[in-house]
Amino acid sequence: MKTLLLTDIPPSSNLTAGIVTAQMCRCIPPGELAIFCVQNPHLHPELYSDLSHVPMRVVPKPNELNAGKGRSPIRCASAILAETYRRMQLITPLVNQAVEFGKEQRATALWAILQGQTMVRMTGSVAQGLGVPLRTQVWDPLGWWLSAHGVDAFNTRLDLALFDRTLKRSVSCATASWEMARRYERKYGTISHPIIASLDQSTARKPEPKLRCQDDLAIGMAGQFYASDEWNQLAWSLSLAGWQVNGRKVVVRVLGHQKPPGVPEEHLDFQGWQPQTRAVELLSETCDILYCPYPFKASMVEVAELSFPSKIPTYLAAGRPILFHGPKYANAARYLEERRAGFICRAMEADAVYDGLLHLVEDQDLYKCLAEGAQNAFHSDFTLERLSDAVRRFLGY
Amino acid sequence: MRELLAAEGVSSHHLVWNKLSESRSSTRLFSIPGSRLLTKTLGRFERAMSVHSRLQPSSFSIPFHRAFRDADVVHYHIIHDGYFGLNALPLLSRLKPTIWTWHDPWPMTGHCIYPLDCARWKVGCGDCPRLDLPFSMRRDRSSEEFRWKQRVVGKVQLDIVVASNHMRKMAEASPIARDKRVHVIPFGLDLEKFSPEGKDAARRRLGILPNRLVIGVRAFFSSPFKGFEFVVEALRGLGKLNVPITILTTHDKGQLNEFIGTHQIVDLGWVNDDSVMLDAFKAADLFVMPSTAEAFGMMAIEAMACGKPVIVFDGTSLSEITCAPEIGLSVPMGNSTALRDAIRHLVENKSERQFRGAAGRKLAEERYDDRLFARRLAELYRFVTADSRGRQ
Repeated sequence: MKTLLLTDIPPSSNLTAGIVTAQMCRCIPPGELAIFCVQNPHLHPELYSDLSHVPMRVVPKPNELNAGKGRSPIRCASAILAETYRRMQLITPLVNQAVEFGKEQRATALWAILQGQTMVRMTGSVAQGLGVPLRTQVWDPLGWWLSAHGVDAFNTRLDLALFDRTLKRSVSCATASWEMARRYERKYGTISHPIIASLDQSTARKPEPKLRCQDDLAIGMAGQFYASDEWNQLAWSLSLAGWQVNGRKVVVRVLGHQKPPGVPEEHLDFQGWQPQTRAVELLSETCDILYCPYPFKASMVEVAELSFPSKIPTYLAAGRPILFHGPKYANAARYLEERRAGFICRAMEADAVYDGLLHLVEDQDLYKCLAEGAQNAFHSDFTLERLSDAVRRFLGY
Repeated sequence: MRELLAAEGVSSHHLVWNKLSESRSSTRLFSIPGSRLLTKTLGRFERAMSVHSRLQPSSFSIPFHRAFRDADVVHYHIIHDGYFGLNALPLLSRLKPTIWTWHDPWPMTGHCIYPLDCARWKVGCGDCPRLDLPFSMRRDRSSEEFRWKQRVVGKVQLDIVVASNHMRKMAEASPIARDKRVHVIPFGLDLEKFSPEGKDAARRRLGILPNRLVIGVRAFFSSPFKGFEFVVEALRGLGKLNVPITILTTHDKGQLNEFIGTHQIVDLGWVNDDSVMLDAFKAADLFVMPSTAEAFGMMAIEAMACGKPVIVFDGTSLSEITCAPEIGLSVPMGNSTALRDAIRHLVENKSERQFRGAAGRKLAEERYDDRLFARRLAELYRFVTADSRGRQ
C-alpha cells in the first residue's frame, strides 16, 4: 500500500498545518508515502529531517487571493473572469503533474488536504486519474476560505458544490474537530475521524494547579492572531483596569510570529516563534492563564462551530487553565466545558473577558479544577498515540 | 393573563401588532396584504410631518375582526407605538365599550412620552422646550398635536386605566383627560416565579464571583428617562467599601467599563430570555432604579417580589409603588450624591437590606399579585359593560 499525499503545505516545523501534517506522516510505515505539494511560493517551510526519505515533488500554487473586495460591477466582473481563468487554465496542468507523480510512485490511495480552491478543484480529477480510493482531510470550512480570499459568488457556488461532491466520493475524511466529523458524516455519509494537532506525552507538563506567585499574573498566548477583535477587547480591558487583576501586575507573554497590538512594552514579553516543546515549557513555567481568542463575528459562525484552534492541545499540554474568549457554540468551547479544562468567556466585550481573568485569579478552587482538567484532557485526547490511532483508521490501516 | 382572566370568568382574545407566541388566543392585528409596508411608509411620513399615530388608516379595519365583533368590551394597550391611528378611536368606541390603559403620559402631552419637569402639558403644550424627547418632532407642532388628542379623546366614550396614583394625578391635571373616568389598577406579576428563592443557583448561572455583594442596575444609557447617568456618577463616588462588589446590568452593554478592575462587571445586555431576567433579580442584593420618569415601574416590583430592596428617585411613580421611604429607599430626584449614599448605606447594612427586602416581598404579595390584577380587571370589564348597557 502506498499513499500519495496531495497538500498545499508540506510537513514542516514552522507552519502550524505543517506540524500536524508531519505528525500524521510519521504514522505511516516507511516507504508507503509520497507527497505532491502545490505550495504557495511565498511560504518557506522548514522541512523535518526525519521525513527527508519521503519522495516529494513541489510545484507552485496559483495565486488564490482576489485583491480588493468590492461591489463595483467592473471589480466583480474582473474577479469572476480571473477566477474562471484559473479554474479553466491552471488546474489541468497541476492535475496532470500530480497524476504523473502518483503513477511514478505507484500510489494505491490518495490522501488530499482540501484547503483552498486550488486543492478542491484538483482533488477529484487526481483521484480519477490515478484510479485509487480517495481520503480527504479538511482543516477549515471552505466557505470561510473562499470568502477570506475574495472569491466571487459564482465561483464560490461552483467550488462549494465541488467540495460536496468530493466529500461524498471519499472513502474516509479527516476533520478538524469532533463537530465537523459528526456533521460531515451526517451530510455526506462519509466515515469521518477528528484529527487534531497532538503532542508527545513527554512534552506534557504538570505544574502545581495554582497561580505561580502572589504579585503578578502572566497571561500566555501562543500561535497565530486570527481573532483580532477579541484580542483588542482583552487589551482594552486590561488597559481600563490599569494592567492589573485583583492587584496583580499583568504581563502578557506572547509566543508567535507577530507582536500583538495594544500592549505597552512594560507589560509585554514577546518571545517570538518557539518550537513546540519549548513553547509548552514556557507556557507551563512562566504563565498562569493561557488565552485563546476565537471569533464571535456572525460571518465566522461556521468556522467557530467546525474548526478547532491548534493552540489548544499545546495549552492543555502546558497544564494551565485556558481562558477561552469565544462563542459558546464553538466546538472548542464545548470541548473545554465538557472536559472542565477552561473558563469560557461567552461575550466579546471588555468587561466579560476581564471577568474571566478575575474568576481564574480570585477563585482558587476553580483554578485548580481547570488546571487539573487541562492536564487530564491532554492525556485523554491529544497524545501522539491517540493521533496515530486516528490517522491509521483514517488511512485504512 | 388569559388563564387568570378565565379564572375570573372572563374569556379574552388578543389582537396584537407583533405576534410572538404560538397561542391561538392571539391574532395579528392587521393581516391585510401590504398593510405593514403601508404602516411603515406612513410612519416615515408622520415623522417627516412631526405628527404621531395620526395617519395610520389600518385601525379602521379593526371592526372587521371577529374577535372585536364578539367582544363585550375592548381594552386597548400601547396603541401609541406608531401602528395605530388614534382617529379611529371615536368610531371603535361607538361600536364597543372602550377601555384604554395609559402606560405612560403620552396621551396627555403634545408629543413626548414623559414631560419630565416641563408642565406645559397642563396648558396645551406649544413652545416645546424638549422636541428631542421621544416621540421627537422636527418642528414644534406640540400645540396642534395636543389639540388633536384633546378632540379625539373628547369624542370617545372611554374608561382610562393607569397603574399608579402618580399617573392618576397627572390625568386629573390633564385637559385631555378631563371628564373621563380614571381607574387605578397596578400591574401584577407571578409571585411564584418572582420569589426570593434560588439566589445561589442564579449567581452561579450568571458567573458572579463568590462572596460578592451584587448591585442590580438597568443600564439604559440611551433612554432620557432611566437616569443611568446618575448611577454612573454615584458609583464613581462610592470609594472603598467593606465588601467586594459585583455590578449586574441589563439593557446596554459596556456602559460601566470605567469600573473594570474596581468591581466585577457583569453585563447581560438586552435580555429577551425571561429566565435570565429572573436570575438577574434573584442574584442581586439590591436594585438601583433611578428613573427620572416612570408611570409605574415593573422592574421595581419584580425586584421587590424577589425580596430585594430598591433605590429610586422621588418624583415619579416609583416612590409610590415601592412604598418609599418605609420599604423602598428614595432620594431626591437627580441627586447623585444622595444616590451614592443610599447605595453605600444598603451595601454596608445587611440587616436593613434583609428588612427592606422582606417588606418588599410582603408588599408585592399584598398589592402586585397577578391574580389580584386579573380580578380588578374583570371587575372593571363587568362595570364598563353594565354601564354601557345601562346607557343604551
